[in-house]
Amino acid sequence: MFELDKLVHWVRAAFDAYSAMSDLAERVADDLAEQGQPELKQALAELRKENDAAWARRHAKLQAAAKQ
Amino acid sequence: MTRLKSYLLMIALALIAVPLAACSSLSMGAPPSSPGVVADATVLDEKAAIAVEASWAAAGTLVEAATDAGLVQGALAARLDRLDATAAKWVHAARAAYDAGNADGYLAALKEAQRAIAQITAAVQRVNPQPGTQELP
Repeated sequence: MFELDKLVHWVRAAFDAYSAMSDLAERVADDLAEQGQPELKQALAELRKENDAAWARRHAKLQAAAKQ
Repeated sequence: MTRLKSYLLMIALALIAVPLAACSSLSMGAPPSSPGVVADATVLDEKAAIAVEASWAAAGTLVEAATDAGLVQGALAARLDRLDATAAKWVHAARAAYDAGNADGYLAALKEAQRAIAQITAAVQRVNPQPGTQELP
């Protein structure tokens, strides 16, 4: 049997993820449309920084979830 | 309801597939003649690097959303953490090869990073919103 609140939580999470990825895809499309190497290098540097921060955050959350 | 979840995940995975496809098109090109060739003259290497970083970010967004929703726990959380660490290892290897102008190492690392990221999205796709079970049979 479904737990409705759990399902609603999942749908909300999926929409949040979709929204975040839409923004990301739009940004990447803009980045890829740029032909200048300096702009691409700058975009890459920002992505690297954001990814490392996000990975550290995920790692902490997953480690906590693994103990549950 | 399961169809709705599948639909949303299909949209999400389609978004992930776009940057992955960009990487594939790069790897199909003629192999560079020597290390350092990739780093010169074109922006293909930057685009491929952005694509793989974006793919990792998208997969990570899915993982984090599912974790925040309480749908990832126990063994599945540990597995996703390991897969994420593998993806991180190869993305960092790609970064190092890019920074060093090592074309062969760069393409190999991109390929392994794509593989690890695909494993993450496949694992998240199997998350079950029903309580008591975390993966579909």
